[in-house]
Amino acid sequence: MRVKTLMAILAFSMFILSSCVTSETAQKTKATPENQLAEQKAEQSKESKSSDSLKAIDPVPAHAFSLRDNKGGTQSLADYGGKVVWVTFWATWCHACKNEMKHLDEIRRKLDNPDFEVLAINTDTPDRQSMAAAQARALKVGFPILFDQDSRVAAKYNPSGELPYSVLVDAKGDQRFIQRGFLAGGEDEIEKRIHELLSEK
Amino acid sequence: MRSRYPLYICLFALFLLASGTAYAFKLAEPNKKPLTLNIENTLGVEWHNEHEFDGGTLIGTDDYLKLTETLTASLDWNGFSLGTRIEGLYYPDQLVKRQSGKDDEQISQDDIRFEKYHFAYDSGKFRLDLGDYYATFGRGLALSMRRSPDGQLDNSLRGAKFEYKSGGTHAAVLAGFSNTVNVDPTSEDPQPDPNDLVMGFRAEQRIIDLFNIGAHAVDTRYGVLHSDSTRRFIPEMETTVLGASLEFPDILGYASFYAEFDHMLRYARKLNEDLDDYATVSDNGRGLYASASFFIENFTLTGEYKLYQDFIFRRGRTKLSYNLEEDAEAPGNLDFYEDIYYNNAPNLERTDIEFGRDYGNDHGFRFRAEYNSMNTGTVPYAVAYYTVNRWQEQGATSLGGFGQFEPGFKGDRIYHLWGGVTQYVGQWEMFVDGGYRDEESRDTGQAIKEVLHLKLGFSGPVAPKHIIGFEGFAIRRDYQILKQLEDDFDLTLSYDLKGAFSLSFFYTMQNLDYLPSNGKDEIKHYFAGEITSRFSDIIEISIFGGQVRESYRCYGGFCRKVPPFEGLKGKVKVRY
Repeated sequence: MRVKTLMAILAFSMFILSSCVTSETAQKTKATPENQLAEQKAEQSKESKSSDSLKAIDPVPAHAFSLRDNKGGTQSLADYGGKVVWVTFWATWCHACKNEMKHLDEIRRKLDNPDFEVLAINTDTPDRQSMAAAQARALKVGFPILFDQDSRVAAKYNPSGELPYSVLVDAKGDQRFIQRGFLAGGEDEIEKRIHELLSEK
Repeated sequence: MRSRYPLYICLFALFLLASGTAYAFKLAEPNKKPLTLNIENTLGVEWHNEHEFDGGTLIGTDDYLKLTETLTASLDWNGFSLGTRIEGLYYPDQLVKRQSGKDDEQISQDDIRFEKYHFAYDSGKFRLDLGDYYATFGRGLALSMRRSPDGQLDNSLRGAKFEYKSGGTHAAVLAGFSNTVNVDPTSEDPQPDPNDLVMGFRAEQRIIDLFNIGAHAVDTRYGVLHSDSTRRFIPEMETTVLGASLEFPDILGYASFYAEFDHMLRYARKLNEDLDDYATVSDNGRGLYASASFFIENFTLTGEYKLYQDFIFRRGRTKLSYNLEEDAEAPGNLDFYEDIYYNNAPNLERTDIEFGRDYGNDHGFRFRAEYNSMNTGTVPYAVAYYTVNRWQEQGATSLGGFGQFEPGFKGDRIYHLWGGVTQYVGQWEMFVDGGYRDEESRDTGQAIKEVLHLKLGFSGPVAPKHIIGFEGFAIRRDYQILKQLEDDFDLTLSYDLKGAFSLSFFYTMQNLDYLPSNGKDEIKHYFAGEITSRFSDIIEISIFGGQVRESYRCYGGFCRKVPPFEGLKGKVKVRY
């Protein structure tokens, strides 16, 4: 009896909560059951099948990071101070991530603006670093690929681990837009937002 | 009995917080970044229908309700950051194990605690972490304490870490006690922290912008016990690892190379029969991992080699180290619900990780050939694996914690080929993916397992803001040793109305048969649905209802058993 009463109270509270808030935007998150059968499926469960368009957020400072890159050096977000930076998170198993990176490379080449850069942060576990490094090289993108080996940066930006996940950082170092997932066809809006931030400089 | 009122008060306060009473602020100072406070609160309600406890043998089946609570908060300002994550678990009706002739035993545990907390200062060149932090050295052979959202693991060290980065130099020194997630998201049960002490150091230097050399040392002291009842037990084991790495990340644009060698000194302490003294025994182990990749146009060829000899690195269920009295059981806090690994050495597709076997004693290689198109419209890909594992003699077994499954052969070969194509048309995405995998004994030629899979799906907008998705996945596993055949079929349908909600439907069919068929196929059907609504950037509500089959969730070389579920789960996530 007590269980049912509690359930009723909680269900009612959740209903009230949902009724009190203005619905602005919504999106599908993880559309996958929890009964994954194999490693491949377990990984792909985190791959977004749909995409938010770029969503504006209240400006908050981007989390600082300093990571190894695919050339063996170290790169920090601070190295790109004064630039508009698209930070995206990817993994070897995430097809949508790699597709997004190809599109980002096209946008970057098209803009050809020294005040814009893309940083792609790999989130694979260390036992897949060799594969990740090889795929990073095979993608032939012109922007740096960074490796978040101990998961510290992803934990800050994207705690749920859903991929792809991207953040657009303005020249002041503030996060201005986020994007969960990626669907081809969204490049125009990405480009438009980048131009907006570049024009603020 | 411990009063539960503080727990009620805390949960009620957190629930109020989840209900939209937000406290968030930013304070700006001239020429400085503002002080920012971020809070995220997730309140979960779960109703488990006819749950089978311990396979139905412990207390049979029962319905029960569970509330979960996670509150994360972080404060950032000019290189300083302060954060915490509080997790709570509350059973409105306590679950009790009843046995005739014995006192009732409570098996559900309410729990609320500071799961993680940290303070960090990052100047760009120096970084100091206090409290919980993550750490990985090299390719993870020696140390890898990190979170893996897909594996639902979140292992950190609680202590201090100091890092120095400048130019081509990177150095880190750390010490801390291991801290697992205490309300385990996979088993959904509270579990204790191992509190093993880990100390480490790594330095890495880039040389003439061509290659990197690194060296590290990690010492792990296992077995700091908690309970008074275990005082007669002593710390059981210690490992010390000394390692070095060499990396050429880019050789003339056509190749890359990485190699790492680690030597392990492993100590175990064995109690005598009277349990009043112990002797220390030691063992030497070693781990070697190397990889090389070559790039030609859209083709990538990667070769990897591993050699692990007595390279055992986990605590886990190490009862073997103890000479227990007859019929005595090791203390419960030695028997963790889930093992903790302090490293994440590349395992290269070991076939038997599902059986809970360690991969600390084998060697083998893997070749991976991959074709990737740079096209953004039609994207074909193909991957081929060839893996050989040779399992070593189990020399370290006497030191405990090793081996549960001993097949009749000492190695395997794996052939794995898969490929597919993804087609993008406007905002529509269509894909098909298929593959074949064959596993056989390396020394006897005995067939182990064959796997065939096919996956296809599509997603895209049928009208502005209306997105639909379909995904079908079929897989056949022919367990040739077990003479068992398993066919699984998964179907996912989704509808996403942007600006309102998303709806998903899941269906799984599992068919178990035996070879030769005994005519009694075991066919099971599972249905589930989920609705998720995200209100602005602040609130997200999701409700999941239905059935989830028991399964293994495998990730990064280890597998975790996910218990079956039938019931309802609701979550309210609020961000500030």
